[in-house]
Amino acid sequence: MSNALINRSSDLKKLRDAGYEVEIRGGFLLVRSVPYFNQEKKILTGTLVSELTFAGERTVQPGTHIVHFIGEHPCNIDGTEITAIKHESRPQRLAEDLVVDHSFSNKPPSGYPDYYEKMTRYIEIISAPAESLDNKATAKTFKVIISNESDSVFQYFDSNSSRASIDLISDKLKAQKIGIIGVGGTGSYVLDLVAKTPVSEIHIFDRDEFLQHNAFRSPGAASITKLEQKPLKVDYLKGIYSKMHKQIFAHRCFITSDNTELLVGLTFVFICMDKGAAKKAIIEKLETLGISFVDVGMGVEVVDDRLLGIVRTTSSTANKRDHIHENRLISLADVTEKDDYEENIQIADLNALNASLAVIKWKKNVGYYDDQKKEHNTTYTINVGMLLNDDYET
Amino acid sequence: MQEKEVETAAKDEVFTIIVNGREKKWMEKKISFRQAVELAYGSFEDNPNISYTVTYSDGPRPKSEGRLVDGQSVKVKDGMIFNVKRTDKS
Repeated sequence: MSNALINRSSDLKKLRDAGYEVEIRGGFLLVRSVPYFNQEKKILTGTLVSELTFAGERTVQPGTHIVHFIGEHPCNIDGTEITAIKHESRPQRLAEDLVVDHSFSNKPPSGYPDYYEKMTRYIEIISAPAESLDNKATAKTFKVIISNESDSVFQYFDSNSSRASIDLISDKLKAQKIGIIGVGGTGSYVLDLVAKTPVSEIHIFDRDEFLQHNAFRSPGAASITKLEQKPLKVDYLKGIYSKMHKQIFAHRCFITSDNTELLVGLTFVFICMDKGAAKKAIIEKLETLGISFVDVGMGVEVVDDRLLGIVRTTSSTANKRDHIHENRLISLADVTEKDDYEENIQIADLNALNASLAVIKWKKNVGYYDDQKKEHNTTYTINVGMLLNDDYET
Repeated sequence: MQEKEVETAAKDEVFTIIVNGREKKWMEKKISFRQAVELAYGSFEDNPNISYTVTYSDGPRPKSEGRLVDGQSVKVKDGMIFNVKRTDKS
């Protein structure tokens, strides 16, 4: 797959075609076997590493003129360090299996136009002393390297994380198997966010159809053609998000007390459903299985000619379960018909807010975000713009 | 049921509080979770499966904003803002 990626960008292809040992690993560009002269006046080989900036699988102008190097600091013929590129010398972990020793800086006035110019310029400077002593020393080895990225859950790699150098933090999410029970308003926004993370599986559960009104509280923009097909919510959403994430599983069912075994094997669950009665069995099962979860819910009403209400995000984790029961935080009753007509007001911005807060809570739980207070309940009260945290893990 | 100790406010002191966007008058020094629900919904359904989320802001110091759960009360101040909702829609 990496070769295909290289082929799509003329600068990367040019590098490879020129005989350099080009590899793309974890969002970084590597050129191996770059000869250099070290302090001990020996000719060694090192690896040049650069960030990669893509737009739709093709490279654009390099985001920075800085490169990294795996090896000792390249020197001149007299054994002194090449100062023209000297920048920083300390070990840095860029990705799971990518640790560099040095960073170099050689900045042309308007930056490097492409990765071919960037990498060859540094190779010129680094390899010149070695090449002058041994005319067989060259980085153009014409060795073919095949990179294996087929174990990624994404259809195309997450260059957002690699550009910001947070791949190692993102890696914490890889082992997660997520369940989203209910993909209506809030659940669909949860899926939108979770599908952009490298979790190993995403299971979505819902039996409802995606209807016209659902389009107004779902991410993206459904087409008339799609609405006319009256797809099930899980099929509609899987269709969209599988364009990014390969491991989305659509379950055309509600979770009730009869099928809670479907939750076995999940590492975290988002409960995004209205039906209170089924929640009791779900919560019981998740607690028994030791699975952490977040329950979301909003209450919005019309008062005179305005809307007001509260958006709630409640979590339950291995270290704190009691608050849900003691403080009666979650409704476990089905709404009556009267309530349903009068008060099922959900607005997309509130669904999105509820989903964002829920996803942030999940990420805190798995160590992606720092979590000093370990709050297990967060509410946002609209008409006073107030975010409240309660039920801290002591 | 135990006899509840009701602390009425000082003579002639009536608090104006806002509950779910509407002005209400309150004549006690404190308000409880259940009383807040009654003000908002007209009654309190004591069903263990029903959950209400109650938040307040612009209350008296030291804790001028916060959440109430069943069994809790908070001191009232003029202009205090309450929101009482069943937060169960997704």
